[in-house]
Amino acid sequence: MSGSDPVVALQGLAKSYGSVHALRGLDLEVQRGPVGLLGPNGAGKTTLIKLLLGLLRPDQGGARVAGLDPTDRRERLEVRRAVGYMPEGDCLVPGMTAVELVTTLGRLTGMTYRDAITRAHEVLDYVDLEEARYRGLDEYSTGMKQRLKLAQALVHDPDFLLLDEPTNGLDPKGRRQMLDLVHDLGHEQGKSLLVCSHLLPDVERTCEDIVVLHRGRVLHTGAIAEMTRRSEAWLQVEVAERPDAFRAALEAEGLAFETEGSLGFRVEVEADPRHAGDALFAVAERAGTALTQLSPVRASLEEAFLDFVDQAEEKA
Amino acid sequence: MARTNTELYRRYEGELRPNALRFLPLFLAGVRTATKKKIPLLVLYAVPTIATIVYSFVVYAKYAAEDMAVSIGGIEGMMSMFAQRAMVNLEVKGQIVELNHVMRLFSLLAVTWFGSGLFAEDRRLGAHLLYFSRPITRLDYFLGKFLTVSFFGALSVMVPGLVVCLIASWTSPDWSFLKEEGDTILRTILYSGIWITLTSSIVLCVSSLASRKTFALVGAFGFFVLNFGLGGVLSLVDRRYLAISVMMDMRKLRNWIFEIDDDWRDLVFSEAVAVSVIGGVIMVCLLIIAARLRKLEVVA
Repeated sequence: MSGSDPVVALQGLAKSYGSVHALRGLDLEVQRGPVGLLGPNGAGKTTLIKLLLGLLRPDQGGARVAGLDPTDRRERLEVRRAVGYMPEGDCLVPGMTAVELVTTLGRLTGMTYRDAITRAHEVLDYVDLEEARYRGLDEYSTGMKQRLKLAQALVHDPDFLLLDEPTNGLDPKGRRQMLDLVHDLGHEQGKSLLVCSHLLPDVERTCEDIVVLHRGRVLHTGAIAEMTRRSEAWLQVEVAERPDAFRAALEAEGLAFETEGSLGFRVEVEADPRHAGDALFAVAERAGTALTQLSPVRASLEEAFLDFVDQAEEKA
Repeated sequence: MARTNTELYRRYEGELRPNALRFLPLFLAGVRTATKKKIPLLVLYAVPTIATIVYSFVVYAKYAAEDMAVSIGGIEGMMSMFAQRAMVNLEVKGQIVELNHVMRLFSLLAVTWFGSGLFAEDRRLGAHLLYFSRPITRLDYFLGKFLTVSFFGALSVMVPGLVVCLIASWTSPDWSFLKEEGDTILRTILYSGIWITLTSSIVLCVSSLASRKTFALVGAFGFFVLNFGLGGVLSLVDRRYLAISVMMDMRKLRNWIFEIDDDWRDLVFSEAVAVSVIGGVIMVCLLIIAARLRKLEVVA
């Protein structure tokens, strides 16, 4: 598999549970790098992740993960060797210590005992569990359990990680710690990530690209910046002086606006924002002032996501 | 600012090799985890340990008595002579058979205690997702768990029998135990092996069906009690129905394997029937486990 190949490629992938259609013929290519998998509850995110690992069998269609077919019995094992999976639930075995669990899972992946235990210490150190590594998992807090689940996914150093709700149940400190780790893996360590979450700020912070799922269908794929730019209808401007004159000029032009501080304005524009910028420069000139700042106001990912979902539901 | 050690991430330079013995890490992890709680170990293995020591001593004393050249005098000498004669007449094979037969009940307790949670708790906690996201097959997973439970069963029934065989071999004059009754070792392995396979299969089967360890524990004991009771009740209609009870089948097999005459005449069914019932129960259990593990790994 070459570096330019998509890390995940789906063709007409469908999965139902009885009469419930979890995935409805997904066609999708996920490129390398950190990618967020967004969707409301029941959108099919966890089903998709399980299909990618061969933990579920699709009703129709096919998938390739890191160039391998997870539905093929033999290639399924190769997929699991190439991928690190952090499950959503609290799936840890009580009675074990962190070192034992990570070492055992490393050995199951094909590492020698010496490699597995060395690597277990390294990854536990990485996720900041070095002092708790010999404590029973029963004594772990939620944050520690989440970091341990990340450590076990990393033990064999896979290039592609499937992270299912990595910040689930975490307090603000634990969440920040986890996001730092996920960000580091995606941006500094060069891992490809598929971060499945319904917490949009988490995805916004750790990923550049997203896939939006809704009711088993792909609503949107692409860069987060592109998705939030779609709803640019406001410009953020700041004048050098004479804000009252600028306000009067905006009113005279019939433009809707909001003031922000003493010199700042948010101006609603209807045309292409790039052309609207020229118009605002002209307004400022007429008001006898100059613009010191002009930038598009981006919708938050949450706003953009909700727009997508609302539109999809209206269509449905 | 939250603290992480993100500067410490190191790439793994080693190789991931497909290993034929992929079940071994699961087995070792299972044994390690189960042995962390000392009280169950103490409760379940105190009696087998004491029994092994006692039977080993009896066997040692028998050969020591045979070997001893005695000079006897007075009442004490007469007593000693009677004791010595009794020891010489003691059958080592009979001792080993009795030990095996008694210890199987402790083995049942151990297998049920340590095996009940192996599938049920994995599923309840979702730990199977961690295992099946690794390159292992359902057979690897099953073997890892089966070996774990069998290990604890063997500690109660096979190991004591073999320890006594070992003591008998070492202490018998001129290795006479090995030469004359050496096949007892193989018979011990066969008999205890069948028992361990049977109990492990039943307990793992119930565990694969139960939603938590406690239910599996009750279910496994319930199976043995009901099976024994049903055989007993139906045998009132026809003695041959006693073959329904796996306990009675094992008794029949014991007589057959060790070639002993049982003075208990209720076992009117043949050895073939006993083997069929035990084999059938094991097969059904394995089939159920296979179906349940298939669901555990790949849902539908």
